[in-house]
Parts: sequence; structure tokens; C-alpha cells
Amino acid sequence: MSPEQRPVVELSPALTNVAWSPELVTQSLEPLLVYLAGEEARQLRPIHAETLRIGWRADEQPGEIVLRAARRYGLVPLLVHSTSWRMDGSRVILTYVVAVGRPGELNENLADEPVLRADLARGDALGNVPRIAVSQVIEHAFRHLSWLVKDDAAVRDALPDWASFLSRYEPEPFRAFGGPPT
Amino acid sequence: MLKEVTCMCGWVARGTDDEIVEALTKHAWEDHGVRKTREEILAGAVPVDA
Repeated sequence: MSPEQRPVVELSPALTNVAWSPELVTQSLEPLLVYLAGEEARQLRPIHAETLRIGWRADEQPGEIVLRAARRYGLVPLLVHSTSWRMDGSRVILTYVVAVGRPGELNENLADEPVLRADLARGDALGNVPRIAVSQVIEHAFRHLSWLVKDDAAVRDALPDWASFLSRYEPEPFRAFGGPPT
Repeated sequence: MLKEVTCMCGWVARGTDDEIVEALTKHAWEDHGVRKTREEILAGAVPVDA
């Protein structure tokens, strides 16, 4: 086997293998794997896709599927939280933000990338947003967590090191008053 | 039965067993440099409720 044909990785068993039909509305889970590195957040992206999309069987809890997927990469989940949904063609994508501990040895199927700020994707009051970029989904997720880390004790307890970082994602009017209105 | 398979690298295929085997065989070789037999591919697929 020549060097260029040498396996980069051993092909692991599939993350999911679920029944699917083009004639049904299908739903996928999209775990966004993120971790805190000092003062910045980083995303762990699958090397051959923009995000991880995994099948969701009707008889399973989506949070359990997401947790299992994170652990398959050797990651230690700290928090899983469903943060948004969107349509991608004919499928419904349910996004989970998955905060994990800083990885030791990175799984060969993951790329480690910085999370950059983005403007939110906005539609009008009754219409769909024409296109939503992954960076905008992450921006939305962190804004969501910035509120939850103050409002939800479970989130606060799970992410004790994230509060300072997430405060940067608070909407400006709330920042001025030190927190969201009660 | 049609199926959907997600590789750990993020690659996704949908279709019948035959279609998935064809697609995964191509993906495994071209993207990972690995050759897989039909039996290995179908045996290696992990049901989500396992």
C-alpha cells in the first residue's frame, strides 16, 4: 500500500443507522460539540462535514443519543441543551449545544476550531429565515446559554467556568442592568 | 427498508443496504483509505438502540 493509500483512520462503526424514507419528514439531531479553552470557546467539528448530523429514532430520547455520540469521541459531556431547530431541505434539524470538558487526545474524526462571533440570522415576523449558517446557530446557542447560566441552577452548576465567557453573549440592554429582567 | 448511516467523520449516506454499501465503500476508500467488504459494512453498522 502506497503512502497516499495508507489509512488515515480506521473506519469506526457508524454513529447511527436508522430507518429513513424520502417520503417522510425526517428529523436529525445536530450536536454542536464545544469546549472552553481559557477565554475562548472552541468547536469540535467532524472532519468531513460542517456539523454532525445523526439520525433520531422515534423511540429514543434525543438527549441520550447526543450524549452517546459525544462519548463515542472520547469526550466528557458537561451539559447538553436543545437550543434551536431549523429546516434543511425537507428535514428538521434539532440542534443541541454540547459543552464538553477540554479534550486530552483529540479523536481523529474531529477538527478543533475556534468559535467566532456572528450576527444572528433573522427573518421577518411571519417568514422563514432564508439561510442559517452554523456560526449563527452557535451564536444563538451561546446567547441562550448566557441567559441560562444565570437563570438555571443546573446550567450554572454544570458550567461554573463558563460564566465569564458567556457574559460576552448577553444582549447589551441586559448587560447594562447586570442581568435579564425579572 | 431505507436507512441512514452517519460515519464518525460526519459523512452521511441514505438509502437501501445496497446503496449504503456502495456509498460507504467509496467513502471509506476515498476519504479514509480503508477497504471494507459488504459484510463488514453491514455488520459494523450500529443501531442507535444498541
